[in-house]
Formats: sequence, structure tokens, C-alpha cells
Amino acid sequence: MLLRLLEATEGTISFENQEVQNLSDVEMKKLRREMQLIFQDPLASLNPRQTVEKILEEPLIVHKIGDKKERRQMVKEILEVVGLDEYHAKRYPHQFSGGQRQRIGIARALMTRPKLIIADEPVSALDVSIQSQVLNLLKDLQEKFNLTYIFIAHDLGVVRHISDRVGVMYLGRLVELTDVDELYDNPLHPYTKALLSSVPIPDPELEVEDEDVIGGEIPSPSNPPKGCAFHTRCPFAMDVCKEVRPAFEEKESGHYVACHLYE
Amino acid sequence: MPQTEVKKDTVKVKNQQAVTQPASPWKDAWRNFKKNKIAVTGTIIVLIFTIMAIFAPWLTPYSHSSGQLVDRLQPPSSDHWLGTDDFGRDILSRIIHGARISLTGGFAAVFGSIIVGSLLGVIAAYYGRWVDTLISRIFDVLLAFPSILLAIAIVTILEPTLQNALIAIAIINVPNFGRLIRSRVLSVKEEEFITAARAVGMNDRRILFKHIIPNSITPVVVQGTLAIATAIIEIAALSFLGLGTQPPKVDWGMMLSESQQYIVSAPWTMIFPGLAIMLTVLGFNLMGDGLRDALDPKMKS
Repeated sequence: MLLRLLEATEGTISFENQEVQNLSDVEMKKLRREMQLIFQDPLASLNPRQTVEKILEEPLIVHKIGDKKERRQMVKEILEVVGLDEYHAKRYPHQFSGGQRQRIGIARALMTRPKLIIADEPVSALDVSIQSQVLNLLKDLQEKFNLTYIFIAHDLGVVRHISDRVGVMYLGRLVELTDVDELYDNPLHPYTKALLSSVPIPDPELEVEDEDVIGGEIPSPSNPPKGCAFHTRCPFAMDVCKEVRPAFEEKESGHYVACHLYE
Repeated sequence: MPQTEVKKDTVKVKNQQAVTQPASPWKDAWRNFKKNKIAVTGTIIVLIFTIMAIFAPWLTPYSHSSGQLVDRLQPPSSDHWLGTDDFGRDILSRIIHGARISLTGGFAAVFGSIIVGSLLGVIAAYYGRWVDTLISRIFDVLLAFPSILLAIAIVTILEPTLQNALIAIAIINVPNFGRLIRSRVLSVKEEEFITAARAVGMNDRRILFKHIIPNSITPVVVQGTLAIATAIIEIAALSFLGLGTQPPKVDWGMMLSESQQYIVSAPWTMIFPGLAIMLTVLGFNLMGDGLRDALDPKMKS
């Protein structure tokens, strides 16, 4: 929605003090240079009939940056930055491994030197060993290019590793938002608590305690329950939860939560 | 590239990979195609007929349009390898010349329908809504007619010439290609790399021509090859009915039509043009099947 790939139905989205949803096509194109996307499935997000060189060059052509020679030079540089070799430029996406493909996806997002990168589960399609490589690459790039990430993930280990601030969503709404350490040490919302307790602990000796594990099925996201969307599965649900949707408010300093328990 | 080679020993293995040429999807397909003996046979048949068509004037022992009436309806002999027809014309020469019309006609008609069909199909799929409904219904209407009847109707309205016969054949093939490319584009445009292209800020035209169409044409190539075979049959059928090629030009369908009366007394007048049609169509079909196997998206990666 921030990139206007989907139009917002209500509310406002702003990026550097501009309200994104009201921009004209020309303004939007300028803005797209500033924010780029990394996709979940690196193979699906790369055109199978283009060489890596063409894929990486294209954002530059679209935004009219540099001439052909300069663009080729930039492609070479960026390949090195993301840890690929120069000769990879002439290859096609299907000739790479998953980790390499994701590096290409990251390289493409970097081509226009954006300020913001939205990463949609960029490592969930990768092997665990490759995940850490890609995550560390993303961290390095963040420092190098002074980037902001909006990092979407479901793997809580990954989230803890990469995030500064974490927002927890349930059925399309934020239920909790705070700094990463605060969230992991002091989760407030019952859903966040349940999430954190469901992280598997790598110790086979440990007995499984399922006190905190929540039961039930996720209700339909297109028709979420009335009141607090989580009340159907919440162990602390009160009567008010079934009727009134809790406001998303700052309950402790820098710690936002939407839950009636803290009112 | 040479600089990276000297840098480190550890990259040696990688550099060996670099020496082998990276294969494009088309090269991959060509490698698969070459392995398929049946498809290669089909291609060779097609090539032979194509060469015959191109060099017809230099290959033919006799004139294709005039003959010696004394030699009429001669059976195959060393003078006339495939015999002569009722005007004493050499059948081999006529078949070689007929290849010109059948092949160029087949190509031209299919090319025309690919262009028009793809254009309509892409427009329908990409813009959707009422445009899609309108174009798809037109396709449905065209497909509702038996195709050869529709072709006959179009030619009779336009006046029977070869050119009009080709136009008619092109028209009746348009909905096939239109539907094919429409369904391809519909699925390709949902792919993530199209979303990626949009996120980069590309305009519709660039997305269409650089991303959607290159990923949608493979089935059209296959269908096109197969359609040439049908188009050749359709040209022959129209000529057989006197609605296509007009004398003094010669066409396999016309030869069949002229030889009707002699089917018993001089069967070679009918058998050889028929064989020519059959072989060409077979060649294109084998080639098309081979292409389909080679370009099958499942073979990728």
C-alpha cells in the first residue's frame, strides 16, 4: 500500500511528509525511486527471460539514470556489494541457487539507491543456513546505504535479529508495537505472549508445556470477529472484548498495545 | 572477467563455470529439441519443402503451367518422374511450384493471425473488464462457425483470389491465437516479477513489451507451427473448391481438384499432390510437437 500496488481503502500513509495515497502518477514514480521492494520468492520475482544484467539495469532505465556504460558499471558494482561475481551478470535467474537469487532481488532493490526498502518475508523461502547469510547482508547494507527497512516476517528469531522496532499484527491490525528488546522481554498483548511462547526451543530434553499455546482456528481475515479480533482465542477474554475494539494506545513509554487488559 | 581470475585461488572453481557459456532459455530449448529425433525428422521434411519452394524455377525439369498435350496422363517414367496430368504437364514440376504457394500461404496466413490474434488477446487480458468481454465474445462468435465454412463464406464475399483465401484463413485462426495468448497473459500478469516491475515504477507499455509478452510467446510459437499445417490444408481445401489459387498459378489443392476425373484411370495425378500435402503437414506437426516438448515450461530450471 505504501508503494501503491494496492490502493488504500481508508486512512493516510505518509512518506517523508508526503501523503502517498494522493500523489499523481508522476510524483509517485519519483517516490518509487526512494522506496523499493524485496520479495518473498526470489525466483518468482525475477523475470525468467532476462539476464541478471538486464534485470538490474532496468530500474535505472526506468528512472533514466546514467547512460548505458554507466549503468553497466553500476550493475557490476552492485553485484559485488551483494556478494556475487561479475560474470553472474550474463546468467539467467534459473541458473542460481535460492540464496543467490535473493541476492539478485536485493541488488535490484538497491539499484536506485532508495531510502526505504520493504522486505516481504525475504528469507522465509530460504534454507536456514542461507537465511543468516542474507540477513547479515541486509544488516551490512543497512549501514552502508543508510537504509530503513520495513521487514515483514513470521520467524521470530529472524525478527529479533534484524529489527529495531517490532509491530505485531493479528488479522490485519497492529496489536502491539515497541522496541525489539522491550517486546521480547515484556510482551503485553496476549497474542504476542502466545506467539513468543510458541517459538520452538532447540532442546529435545525439554518437556512441552502448552499452557500458553492458544487453541482454535484463525477466523476469516475478510470477516474478522466483532470487537477485539483476538477475543475468540484469547485466554483472558472479557465481555467488553466481544463488543468494543480496543484502541491502539501508548501504554508504557514507546510501547503501544491494543488490548482491554491494560485500561 | 580476467581480473577476477588472478585475484584468488578460491575462485578457481567458479571461474571454470564462467567459461561455459550461460544458456538462454531459447538455447536450452534448442538443445532439448535436437535430442528429439522425431521432431528433427519433421524439421528436415519442412526444410526440404522450403528449399524446393525457394529454388523452384531452378529445380523443375519442365514448365509448371504448359505441357505437351501428346504426353497427357503419362504414368511415372524416367522422363516424367511423377507422371503427367490431363494437359501433359509434368506433375513433379507442378508439385515443386505448388510448394511455393502452400508454404508462403501457410506462413503468411498464420503470421497474420498471430499478429492480430496476439494483439487482441493481449489487449483483452491486460486491460480486462469490458474490453475483455467484447474481444472474447467476438472470438466466441468466430469459433461458433465451422472454420472452413466461415473461410468459404469470407472468400465468396470478397471474390475468389489467393490473397483473399489467405485473409480468410488468417481470420478463422485469429480466435485460436487470441484465446491462447489471452490466457497466457492473464497468468503471467499475476506473477510476482510483474509486481516487481510495477514497484520499480515501470509504465504499462514497458511491462507489456519487456515482461509480459516475452513470457507469453512460447505457446504461440508452438501453436503457430501446428497452425501452419492446418493452414496448408485449408488453402488446399479452398483451392480444391476453386476459391483459392487461380490458374496459371498452381497449388496442391487445385491439382487434386483437377485430377478428380482421373482418379481411376490415372491415379498418380491425385496421389502425388496428396502425398505432398500429407508430408508437409506431417512435417509441421512433428516439428510443432517437438517444439512444445522443448519449450515446455516444466522443463525449465
